[in-house]
Amino acid sequence: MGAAFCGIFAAMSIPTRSSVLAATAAIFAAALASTASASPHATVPGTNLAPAKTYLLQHTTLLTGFTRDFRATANRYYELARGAGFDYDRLWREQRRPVSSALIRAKALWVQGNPYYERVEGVVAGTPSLARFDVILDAGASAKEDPAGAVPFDLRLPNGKLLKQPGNFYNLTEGMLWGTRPEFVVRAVEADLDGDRKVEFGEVLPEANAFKAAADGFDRYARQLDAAAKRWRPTASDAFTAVVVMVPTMSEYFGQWKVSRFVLGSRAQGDAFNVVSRLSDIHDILTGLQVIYRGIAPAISRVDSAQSAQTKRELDALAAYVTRLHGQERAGRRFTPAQADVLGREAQERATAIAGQASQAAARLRVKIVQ
Amino acid sequence: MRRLALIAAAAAALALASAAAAGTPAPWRGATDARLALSEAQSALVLGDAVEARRHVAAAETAVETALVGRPERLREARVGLEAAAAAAARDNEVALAAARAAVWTTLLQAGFDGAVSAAAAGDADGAGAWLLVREFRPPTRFSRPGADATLALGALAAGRLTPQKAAAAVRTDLLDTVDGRIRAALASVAEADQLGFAVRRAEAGALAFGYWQMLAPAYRAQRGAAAAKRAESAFAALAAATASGLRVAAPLALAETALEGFRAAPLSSAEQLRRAGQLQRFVKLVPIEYGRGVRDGRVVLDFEIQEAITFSDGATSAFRDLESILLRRDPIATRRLHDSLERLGAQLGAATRGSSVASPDTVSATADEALELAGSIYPPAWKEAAETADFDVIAATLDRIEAAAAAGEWGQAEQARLEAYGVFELGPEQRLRGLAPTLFREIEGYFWYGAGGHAGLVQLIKRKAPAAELAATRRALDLKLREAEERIGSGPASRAAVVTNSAIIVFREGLEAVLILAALMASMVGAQRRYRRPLLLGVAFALVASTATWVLAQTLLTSLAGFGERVEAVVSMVAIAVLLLILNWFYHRVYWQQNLQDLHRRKKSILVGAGFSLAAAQVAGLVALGFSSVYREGFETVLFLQALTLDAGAWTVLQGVGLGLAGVVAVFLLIVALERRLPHKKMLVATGVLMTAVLVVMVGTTVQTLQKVGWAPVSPVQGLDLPYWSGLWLGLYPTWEGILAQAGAAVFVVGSYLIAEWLRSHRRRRILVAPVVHAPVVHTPVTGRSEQLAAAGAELRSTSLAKSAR
Repeated sequence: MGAAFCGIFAAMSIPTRSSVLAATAAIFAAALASTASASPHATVPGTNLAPAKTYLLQHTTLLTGFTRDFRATANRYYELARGAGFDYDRLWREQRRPVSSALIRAKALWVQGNPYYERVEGVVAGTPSLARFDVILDAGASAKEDPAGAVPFDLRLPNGKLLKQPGNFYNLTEGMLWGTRPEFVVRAVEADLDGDRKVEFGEVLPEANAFKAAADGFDRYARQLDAAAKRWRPTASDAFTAVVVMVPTMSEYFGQWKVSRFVLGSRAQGDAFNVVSRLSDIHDILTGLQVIYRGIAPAISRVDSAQSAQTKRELDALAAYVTRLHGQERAGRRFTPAQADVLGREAQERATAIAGQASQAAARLRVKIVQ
Repeated sequence: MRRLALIAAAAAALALASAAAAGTPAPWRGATDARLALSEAQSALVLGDAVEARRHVAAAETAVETALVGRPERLREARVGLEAAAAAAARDNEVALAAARAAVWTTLLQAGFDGAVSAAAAGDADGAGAWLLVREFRPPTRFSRPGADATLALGALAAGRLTPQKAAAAVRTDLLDTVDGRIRAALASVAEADQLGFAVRRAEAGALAFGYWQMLAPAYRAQRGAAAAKRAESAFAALAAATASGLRVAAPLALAETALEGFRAAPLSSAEQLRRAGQLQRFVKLVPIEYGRGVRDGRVVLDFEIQEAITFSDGATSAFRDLESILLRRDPIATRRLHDSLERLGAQLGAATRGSSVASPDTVSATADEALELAGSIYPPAWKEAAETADFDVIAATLDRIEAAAAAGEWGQAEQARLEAYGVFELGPEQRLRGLAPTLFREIEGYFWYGAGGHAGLVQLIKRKAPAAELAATRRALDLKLREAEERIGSGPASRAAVVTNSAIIVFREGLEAVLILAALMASMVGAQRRYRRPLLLGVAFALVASTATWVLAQTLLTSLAGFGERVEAVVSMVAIAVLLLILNWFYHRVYWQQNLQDLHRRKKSILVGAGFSLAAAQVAGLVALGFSSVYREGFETVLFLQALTLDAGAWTVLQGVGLGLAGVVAVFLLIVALERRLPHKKMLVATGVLMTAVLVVMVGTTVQTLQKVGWAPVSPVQGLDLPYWSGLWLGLYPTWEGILAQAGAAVFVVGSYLIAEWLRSHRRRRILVAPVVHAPVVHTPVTGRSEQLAAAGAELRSTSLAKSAR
């Protein structure tokens, strides 16, 4: 259109060109009247989330190390079972020592590896670009339990069987090793793994095909999380979302703790959090959130130093509170359900206050909380 | 000496002031210390350490004294609670301690409430902010995030953007709303703890409920009267006593719950009521749409669609709860039926997602329709058309889906959500924004599509599967603009002059393309070709009648027609392009045929005579179609934009703007006609052809964009190509392969068509030139007649001129 006007324009006389210019300028000035639009802040001044990313990568490295070793152990067990033709009675009779060794090692690795993820669960679950790994590794349910919150994967076993949305990997492997997922355990064989002539809680033989598939999948997704973490460019939104979204989730975690073996003992019916106390997980999560909060506290201080100080005080106090409780539990103390209720609710109320305070700061800094 | 003394005095005063400031703790510090200390005391008792518990209670006493400096009444109340706490710790009584510390905490909360509101009312933003830190919060849900209204109001007060009165009102509303939620949560906790036999929690929740009640009492009294307030007070006091002493709680709990039924501590403003009413209508309407997409043959095939349906159902229920007290007063029976319908809707969705029972889309639709009908029957007249106020909420929820889908690597779903969000914007706010704030509308469009404000557009980001941080940055910028748009629409047109100007600009810009084509063509229709003006103008007349009819229809069918706006534009645009291509082709060939080539002219004549009537009829039909489509393709949408503006500013104001815009369009028309007439004929024809080609290329670009918007064409952004928004606005140039290639193709087609025609013409001339020329025999007679010589010279001249033309 511009070219067309130029062509006609060139053919005009000078007075005509002047008139046209004036008219055109008036028209276009009216048409193009606009106000300048403000560019949003690309970053929030004062935030420093590099330490949070470093913290995350340290733990994903540990996690992938754990899942690699775990997978190797699970595959060793699978080979032993395959050698026995998946006749578990024969397997236990003929390969008792290597089977016990493999399973005890797998359990030790699992207990050791559990905190590697829990310490960064706050970061992973609270960051939109990483949150799906939390569902896959730790938080997702099975399709049978909760179709809406089920994991987004199926497991293909070496024998061709397909397990549809079987639940998250921590829960799966815990259930296979300690028998809390009976569908994946060989019930016909009583396996005294530690040789003390008693078959106690946790002494079971996993179904080898399921165990291998779960361990393989666990390792695969842990490595994917590691790769995603390396690509992650943390933003203020990620950090505030992590604090606001994860902290109130403590109520769910305390609820799980209250009905776990650590409180109810043998009366516990849940199939999760029976090996490592949820208090330990909560403590680890809070540790991660403290790292994140340190990255955004200076930004909050710029707009409200009192708010920043208050939230830090509350977050540190909550972490200390949970540490104390966990310490007592590890020392052998068993809380009654009523005690667990009081203690858990107290922590929940503190967590809600912290989330609310972080929301205020986010609103003042115009940082979006993604939910 | 005197100077030194003055300096020393000033320094001393400064030191004293600093010391005073450092020694005055902020109230939040004392309140937080007190709460944490009492919490530790409770935990210590639970864990069997009474000595530790007493120590913590003592620490709480010190902290409370610090927090409530200057608040003697509250301090007295708190001391009563602290004494009870100390006694409970001494007796190792967990239940009594739980009740006592709840009483102390709610006293501190009351002090925070009073301090924040009174300081805000006095214009003391810092003082109010210090007290505001002594507060609690509602837990967040999808549609109600932790409120920050009070915090933001104090920020605005400090910046001078809000009056103290309004800031105080905002603080009061935010805090009352929080307490409203907390008191209900406390009652629910009493019920649960009672059922489970957890005496400590029961006592604490009962005492908290009573403390919250005391904060709500003034608002309750103002709304329900003194007598009702007294009854409620008795119920909460009885509940607290029962929970503290281990008595049965069923009766006082029921009385307390009944007292709160339909009560809302912070009544919604008219604007908030309208918004909730709109949310209820809009969200319920969306439930069967989302559900229908996710269910096929009795099975859930797309779970995320069901989840979205659930989200909207939850949102509708949340909106209903906020309006329930108002609706109960209007029609309690219908309101309870509406409540049941919404519950049934939620149950149907829940059963589908669990797989236990998948209702048919028709069933869900029927339930939704029932709810909508009931809402419509209860709503006051002002609420009945409130659905559009919820557009921004729907857009926000759908944008959340984009980010969630992208984070999960589901890029197809992310694009689907983007189109949905844009669709809601296009059908709703865009209609108003085009008239009220056209630049803002363009910016928002940019964020949805090809970028704005230094950020890539969502379609570009989704296509290249951009990292979450980039998506989030664009989302943040888009959210800011959407908020601005919401405020802009809510505040209505800035001034009458703005409405007139915006209407004029809309009509001028939308009409410019059509007028250029018409003016260029009509200018070239001179002499024998004048007769072609009539069919062109006839088409224009039909389009104007159709546009007027659309205006009349739009008075009653605005919402329904809005959905078809761009689809109609897309169809009519494609017709316009096809017709324009044909007309251009005819135009160029008409130009060629006017060359002074006798044999070609003869051939043209014979063709015309042979084809004769059908060719002329085709030309007439084409011109009518061109006239109609050029005007109506923009007429339909322009009418809808102007209707939306009419709702805000009135018809007369808008029509004034329309008149101005039309005057501008007519002026351009006359200008082009006049300019072209001044040109030499050939130059005029060339200018006309160039002008129409340029218009065609722009039309092709905007039509491709329209097809992409309605989902009839794919979108393939050209990575790395950033174009200013005016390139699309004025040149139809958008950074997609489809648009650019289509425009290039149109230009190549037209120019190529001209070049081919030129080549054909010169080829035929060459053929004429190289054909043997039969000269008339020259009879060499001594007496050469002049006529014979002239005939020979003429033949030679003709053949020479043919040869020249061929070159």
